[in-house]
Amino acid sequence: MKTGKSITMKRCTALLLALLCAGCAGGGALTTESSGTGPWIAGCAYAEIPLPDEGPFYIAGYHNGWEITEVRDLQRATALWLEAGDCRTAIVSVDCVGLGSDTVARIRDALGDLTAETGCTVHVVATHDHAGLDTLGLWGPVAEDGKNPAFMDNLVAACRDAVLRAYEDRRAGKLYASDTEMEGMYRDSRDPQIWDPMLHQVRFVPDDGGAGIRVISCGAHAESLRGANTRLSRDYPGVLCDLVEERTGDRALFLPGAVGGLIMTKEFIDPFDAEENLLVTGEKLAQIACGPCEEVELAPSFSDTSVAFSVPLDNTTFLYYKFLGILGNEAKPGAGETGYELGTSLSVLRLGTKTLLLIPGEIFPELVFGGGRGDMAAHPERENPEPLGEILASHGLDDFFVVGLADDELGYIVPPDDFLVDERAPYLEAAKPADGSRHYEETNSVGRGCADAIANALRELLKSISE
Amino acid sequence: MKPNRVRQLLVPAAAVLLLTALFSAAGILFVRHLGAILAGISPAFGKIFSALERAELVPVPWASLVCAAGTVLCAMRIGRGRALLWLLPTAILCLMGIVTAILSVRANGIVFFDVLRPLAKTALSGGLDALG
Repeated sequence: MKTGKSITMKRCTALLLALLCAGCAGGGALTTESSGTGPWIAGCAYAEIPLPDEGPFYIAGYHNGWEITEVRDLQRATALWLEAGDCRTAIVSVDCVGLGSDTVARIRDALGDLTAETGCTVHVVATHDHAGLDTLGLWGPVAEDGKNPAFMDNLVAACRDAVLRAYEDRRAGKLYASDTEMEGMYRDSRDPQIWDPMLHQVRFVPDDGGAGIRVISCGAHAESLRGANTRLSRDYPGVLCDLVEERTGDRALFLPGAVGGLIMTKEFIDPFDAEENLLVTGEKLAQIACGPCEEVELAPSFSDTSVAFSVPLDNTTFLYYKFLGILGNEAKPGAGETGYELGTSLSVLRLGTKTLLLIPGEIFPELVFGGGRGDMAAHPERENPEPLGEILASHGLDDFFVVGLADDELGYIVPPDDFLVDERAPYLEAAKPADGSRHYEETNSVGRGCADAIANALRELLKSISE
Repeated sequence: MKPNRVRQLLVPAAAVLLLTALFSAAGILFVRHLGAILAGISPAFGKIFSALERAELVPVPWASLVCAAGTVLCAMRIGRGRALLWLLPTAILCLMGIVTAILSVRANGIVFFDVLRPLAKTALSGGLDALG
């Protein structure tokens, strides 16, 4: 005979099981989406980011504790407003080495009135400028925050100013896309020698005949001034955008591509002269951008889908810097080797038949296009995730380009099969295996699981679009 | 249950909770002032640890709770004779309670102990010079 106690126990067990199942079913990333069709409407504006009165002003990208000694040109925030139907987005390109998700959140908060009024989304992309002030905090003296708080306030204000003026600048027009193959522009400092050889452009032509807008993207580190430079500058993206505007009248903004691995523009001047190299690099890219190309008109159908997800944090140096309040990404207990994981996001923008894949870091091109070191890799027994290009193609989105350092900066996103850390001082020193292969990028990465987390998040995002 | 028995359980339980709270307060104060303490050694250290002024306590400092329970149990034995024998473990457990509270403090989402673990591992493998 069943007693009251045994019936209660069964009900409690059933309730617990139900709660467990509900929790499991709802687990995973959170997606948000907006979409619309209608005439293309776009606007563009930029705002310079002034230097505050008080330093220090640490220069980002290469060395700890180096300060700028001279100003060549000020960093900028350049905003594009784009809408079609009910889908509206502001994309801000900021001349800086990278912006953590905490700074992106500050910029979005600063635009709260606009997003409430228009329902727009805001995406913030860093050009990966290696001649700007430190905006991540990693290039101050060791264990000291290299960010200048007043400069960061100016940066947020400039982003807000640029977006608001881009919104005021909006007008109807047509959108065109082109992809031009470049030769002899890049070098890759880590095998395999894989990069995106294209210069991607999205060009807006307003119906009123006024100044157009160009979004230009290519997959090379913005460091044509190289590591000895201490002059503040926008590096080649700045020269490129200025030359494009000078020659065509179109306002231009630059978005970096899959720059990990480590892809940079070549040194074109021998013996090396930083200023000359910068000008030659910008000129070469401007000639390609302004030259003849095959353009495709993009039908005015627009969607913007984002997914929030977590990445395991293995990098103990990032952990120390997070503890000291230098790195601002959201951290919570999780599956990383440190016991933590970081919250981040990725987005897919579809402009007619053209897809922009916004990745929160510096992804190795082989993780996008396939390929790798094969048996020569550090850990050939490990499997790399499916290339992001193949994931997109499986959903019919094979006309795409990657936008790196978008809405976050997780560092390098390294293929798992070639991921190797130093045994004595993991993430503090680069591993130096006997075959002489390079593993510097691991010291500035979140960890081995990042590539898989990104591939899984993209699958989840595309699945939600299909449904 | 007899009222005396209830009192016999409640009083030590309250003492454990109070002691845990004291350990936690000591731990939080220490970490929040670590920057100022270390500034006396070097201004650079002070600057590095200044962000810990926003440190907070993890929801349940279990290790401190256990040490507090041990401290109370040992302290109760002191009152029943052989004071010297129980004084030493009482003091040790009290000290451990404060240390575990310090290690349980969380700053910017990261628990202090979780930072020290990999640092200690790197130090033992001789890799700390890479920090310079």
